[in-house]
Amino acid sequence: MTGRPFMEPGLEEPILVIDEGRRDKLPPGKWVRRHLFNSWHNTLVTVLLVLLLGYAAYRFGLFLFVNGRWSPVRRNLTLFMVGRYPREELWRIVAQVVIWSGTIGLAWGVAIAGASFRASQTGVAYREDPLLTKVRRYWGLLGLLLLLLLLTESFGPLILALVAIGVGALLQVIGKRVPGQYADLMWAAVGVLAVGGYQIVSGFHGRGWIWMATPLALGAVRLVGRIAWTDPRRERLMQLGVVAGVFGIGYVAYSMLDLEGVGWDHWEGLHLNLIVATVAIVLAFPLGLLLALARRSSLPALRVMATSYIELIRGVPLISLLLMAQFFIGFFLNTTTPLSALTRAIAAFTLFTAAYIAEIVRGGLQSVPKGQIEAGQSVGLSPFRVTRSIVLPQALRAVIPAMVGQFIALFKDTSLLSIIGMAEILQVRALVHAQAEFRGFGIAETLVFVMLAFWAFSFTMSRESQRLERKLGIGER
Amino acid sequence: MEKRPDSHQTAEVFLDATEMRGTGELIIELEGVDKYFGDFQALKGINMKVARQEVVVVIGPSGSGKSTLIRCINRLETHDRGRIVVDNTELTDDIRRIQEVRAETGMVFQQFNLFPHLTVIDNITLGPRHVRNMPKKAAEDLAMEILTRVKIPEQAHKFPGQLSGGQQQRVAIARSLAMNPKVMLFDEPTSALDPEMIKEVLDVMKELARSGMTMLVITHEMGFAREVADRVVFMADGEIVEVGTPEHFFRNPKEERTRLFISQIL
Repeated sequence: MTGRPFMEPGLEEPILVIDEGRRDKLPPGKWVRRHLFNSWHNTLVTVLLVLLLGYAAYRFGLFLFVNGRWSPVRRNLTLFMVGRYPREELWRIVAQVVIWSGTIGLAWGVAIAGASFRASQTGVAYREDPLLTKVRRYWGLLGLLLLLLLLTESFGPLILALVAIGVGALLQVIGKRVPGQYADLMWAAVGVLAVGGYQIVSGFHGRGWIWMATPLALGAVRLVGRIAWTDPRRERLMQLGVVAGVFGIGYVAYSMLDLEGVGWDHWEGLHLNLIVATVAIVLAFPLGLLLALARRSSLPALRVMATSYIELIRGVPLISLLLMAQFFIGFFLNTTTPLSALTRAIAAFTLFTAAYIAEIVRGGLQSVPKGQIEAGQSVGLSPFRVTRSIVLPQALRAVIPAMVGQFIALFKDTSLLSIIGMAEILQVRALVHAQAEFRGFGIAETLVFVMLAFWAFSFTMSRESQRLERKLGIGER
Repeated sequence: MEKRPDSHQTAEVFLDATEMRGTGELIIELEGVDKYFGDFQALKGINMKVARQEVVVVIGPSGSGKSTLIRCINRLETHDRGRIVVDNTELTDDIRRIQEVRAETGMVFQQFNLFPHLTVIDNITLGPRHVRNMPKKAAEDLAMEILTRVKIPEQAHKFPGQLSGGQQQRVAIARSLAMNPKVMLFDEPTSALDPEMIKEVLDVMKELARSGMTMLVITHEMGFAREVADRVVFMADGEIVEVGTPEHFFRNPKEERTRLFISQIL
């Protein structure tokens, strides 16, 4: 070994530059010559690969634009999106799309406001990305939307998309304008909107008040915390009172309102995939967190229970859990189960994902240096407080990519709902081809379309996690 | 430099580890303390007393048990035999009592151990808010006051990662001071610092000593020991070998091991 970088004869600079994975910045012409045509064998490889890729692109283009028989997709777009959801109730889903678009817009705006507020305090410059960068960042989802609009045969979806984006943009601007110190209250509003968007379809009734009252109560607690209390005990008391009040009012309001919606046994299509994935993610995260903490607990009983749960669940295929929940749970519980089929399916997804999340979080917990815990202990913080304020925030930041990876897997696994007889988007495809005119017609095309729908969301999630990871690193460590 | 009224560091005195100076009022007491890591005995029958307002500097080669000694005092390590009493509270397995002792005992680490995900002011207010149940505003006012005392109020809203090592260590000292501790423990506070930053941390510690804080300091900074220590304790192989005033150590240490160590670090 000479210890010199690998030098190609005739070049004054090494071709193999390993500098933290960064590509060297050269003008395109020079870059191409340096990297693709720097020797006869590299030139050969380049030419062969270009030919191969060109041929593949040609065949795929031919399939997409010339030979492809897209009428099964074109004619059944609504079916792919919502399945056999009652058409006279479709306004609910339209409203849901608009409300959730607003929710995302508000959350986005509030996040920006919070970031620039913190930046103004810490002295790290905060710069909002230009519109073009944002468009480029979400090109997966935007591309899917554009494709849907191109395929559709009416103006309804276009109007819906414009209204939804408009409402989202409006709430984003509002969120940005609210001063950063009110971020916690705005997050409560985001929670209320999110739950409201869900219940516009499912109905404002039954135990729905719990979900609605939770973000409201959190906001109220924060509001109480803003008053300059002199006596912390009185502050606690007031907060307890406010929480009880909010929950009480929520309960009464829901029993008086009792607005029925469309039960989730009627939810189908891509809508179902998205809802199941979202609900399972929201539930699996806290469950996984608790399991991870339990597995590291000093109480043997807790530790053994968590460990056996995690190892049991991780040792079996998801599909077997889904089947178990669907068909055999009655044997064990000795009951004609009152839970709906979809509830049981979501439970299976949640329990499965929680076990994996637990292992991911455990890895994060182990990555927090011991000195951090000792520093917390040495100011006299309780074990709970050390975990809550010192260990968990750092642990979770460390495992964002792995966790999002698990959530993406969960989203894609919702296609397994088809196996237990639910018409999620992959199963809708089967329904399409059961139609007399499309029997055996365009089966590759419909599959490509379904794959594209999954890909657009998964890809966006993955990109967002990378961005979040980069962002959270700023100004720290 | 002004001398504290109760210090006697000019005299060349050989002392016993239990002979306190300072105000003479007992705050830390160790009696026959043993500590094992597996088969390795880290502390061997340590007897020691510290009085209120006393500054005790612990020196010794690495692996001599000095770190273990002060980590036992706020029970980051548990001792295996003997008694440790801090401010009239004996350290046992009772977690509530230990939390009380820890709240009264500030600790500054070699590696600072600031919380990287919290701003400087949040690092400092965490203890007062959650242990002392102080309202947020009052805790922040207190934090700003202490940051002014350690001379970095302008860094309050930055993250630890944005600060220099010396500034980080001063934040760590501020974090301990915010709990208004009765004793401060320092575990090699300047060993991880670049030379030009050592002084700013030592200056803060000297100011603290002058204000009458009880301090137990592991350090190799002999200038610091000479200036503010009431007693210097030399440890080797888990035992206290020799105790005396700084002058005693620098002029005329009694034990051969002490002499060798002093000659190596001076």
